[in-house]
Amino acid sequence: MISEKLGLLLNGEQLSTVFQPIFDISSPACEIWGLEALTRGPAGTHFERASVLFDYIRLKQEEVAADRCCIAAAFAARQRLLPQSLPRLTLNVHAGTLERDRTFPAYVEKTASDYGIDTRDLVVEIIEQSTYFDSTHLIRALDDLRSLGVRISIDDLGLGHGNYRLILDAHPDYLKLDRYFIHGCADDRRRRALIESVQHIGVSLDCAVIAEGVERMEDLLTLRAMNISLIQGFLLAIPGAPPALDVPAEVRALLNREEAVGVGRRN
Amino acid sequence: MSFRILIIDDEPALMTALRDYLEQRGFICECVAEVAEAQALLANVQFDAVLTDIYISPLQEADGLRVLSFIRERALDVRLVVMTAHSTPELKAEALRLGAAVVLQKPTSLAVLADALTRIAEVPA
Repeated sequence: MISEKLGLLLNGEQLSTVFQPIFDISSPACEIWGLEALTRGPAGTHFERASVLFDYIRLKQEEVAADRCCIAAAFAARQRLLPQSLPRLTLNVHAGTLERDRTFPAYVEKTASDYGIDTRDLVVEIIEQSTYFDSTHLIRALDDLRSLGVRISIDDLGLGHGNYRLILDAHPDYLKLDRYFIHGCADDRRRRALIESVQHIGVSLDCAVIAEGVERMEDLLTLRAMNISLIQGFLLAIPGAPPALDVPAEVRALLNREEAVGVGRRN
Repeated sequence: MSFRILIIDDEPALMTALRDYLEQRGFICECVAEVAEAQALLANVQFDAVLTDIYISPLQEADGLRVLSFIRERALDVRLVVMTAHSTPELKAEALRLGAAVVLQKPTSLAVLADALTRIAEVPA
């Protein structure tokens, strides 16, 4: 049974959602590709900080209940705060939830319907903060989500338990590289080598790579030179409710200027 | 002084009194009444010291020691002050083995606790 404290915490009105855009920088317009829903705990508490909130949830082994509450909160915020016309919404879901919550796909379908959200606009980002045990149930849940048109992404690839086994099991559409690998990549050949290896896997398996935690212009140009065009990070937009929906003009101008002189892209 | 202390105890009145007393003396305090919440905070926020009861939950398990083990496993750079109303030589030895700098017997005065924290704050970590 869920503890009283966690029950209060997961009450829909206690959680809030902010959104951070992911942009596609492959075209001069740098259009918005999607928005990641990020959950925050009650303001003024320890749990306002997402890392504390989710570490607590994982220590209490209540990922399943938490993921459901976060999704409901995200859909409500999406409906309330964002234009209907925006593209994809990405949702963080623990691998353990996909493994253990046998009605999770039906929950996503029903809840999306309640908020007028098309499941074909959803991307599930699988978080693997602890290992999962039963590939069979995880794969079945992902198949059910795919049948709803939901796309699959692996979050934090290469960090913690986020490993290659999940690439084999999940057949992802997207691979998301954490800030740890991205930040400073312009100046670090080891980081670039790892990013290139993931990009190579992505090309081989038909998965697009998403780079998150982009905070420096030189890293952005390096990523573009590696043909990584789906970008998320404070350089482009901080999380907000609602967030900015356009790349800052100076960043876009710099990207386009570098493009015009043939710098920053490698074929 | 910006010495940051995490206070872990299941007695809200004691925690509030302790926090108020320590904050008047320049410490920065955060209070929690549960091991998991303490661990989640310690994993994400830098504290200079932890002041913990040994028996935190009502289950009468020596769960304060789990906080000490958590800090030790992660090699967190934090000083530890333990307080307990049910000290035994074995518990005290275990707390010291897990890294406690001081083990205080409850009940103790706020002044004694503040004094212990002031002394460890003056020692380089």
